[in-house]
Amino acid sequence: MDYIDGKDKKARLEDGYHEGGYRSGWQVLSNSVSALAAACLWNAAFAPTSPHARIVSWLGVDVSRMILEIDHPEIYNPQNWCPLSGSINEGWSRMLVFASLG
Amino acid sequence: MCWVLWVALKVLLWAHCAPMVLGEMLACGKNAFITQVTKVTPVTHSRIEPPPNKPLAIDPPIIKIMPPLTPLLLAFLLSAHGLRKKSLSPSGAFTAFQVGFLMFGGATRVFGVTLIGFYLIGSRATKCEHILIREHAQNKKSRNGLYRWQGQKSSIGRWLS
Repeated sequence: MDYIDGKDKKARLEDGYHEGGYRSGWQVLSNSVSALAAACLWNAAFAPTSPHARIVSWLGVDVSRMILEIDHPEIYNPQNWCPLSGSINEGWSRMLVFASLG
Repeated sequence: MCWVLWVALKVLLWAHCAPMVLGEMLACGKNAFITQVTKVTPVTHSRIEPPPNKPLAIDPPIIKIMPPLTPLLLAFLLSAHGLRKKSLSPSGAFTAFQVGFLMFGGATRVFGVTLIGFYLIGSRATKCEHILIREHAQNKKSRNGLYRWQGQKSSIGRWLS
């Protein structure tokens, strides 16, 4: 069984290879876009005081009604409900938290 | 570079702390301030128009506008660390700052903690892989004949399991 050094192989194959990685903005966004989308949806729907909700309301989008299709979403309160609870907000909270894990 | 980061950090800290302290002071003295104003307002309003039915609410807009300190600091430190180690380009660091702020800036910390967890696990896993490769290369040099047999054995064992 031969172990191939992925670093050497990458240096041979990739154009403009840098030692430390030197990832560009598009690469960073590509790696994190699913988690970012899930976090933005969760906060915009269940935390109206978050920056996400303010940006989305500024854009004129009601996430809970238009995207998640929840008429009366329960606002997040750490004393009342857990984000991983499946019975809250038709299970959307749990789904979005797990979606952020990949 | 360290000086620039340090000064930027201080500016960020002060730019956030001052409005926060002001906001705290306003919030603490809000009730007393409202009672004082409501005592005065009927007299002033009675000359022009009847007093409003709704209680006077004073929300300092500066608290709503200013973003929280912790997400900003964490996003700044992580992106600056990536830029310093050259694992991120300037555009990558800028994007990482935005992504980090949005992940940490929510009502729950679960998204930010997940982000940091995956980042750290990924970094450690890469280092671990390099150590394994180095050790195998050394083993291969020292006992060339035995290495091939062990490699075959471990691959068969892995396939069986």
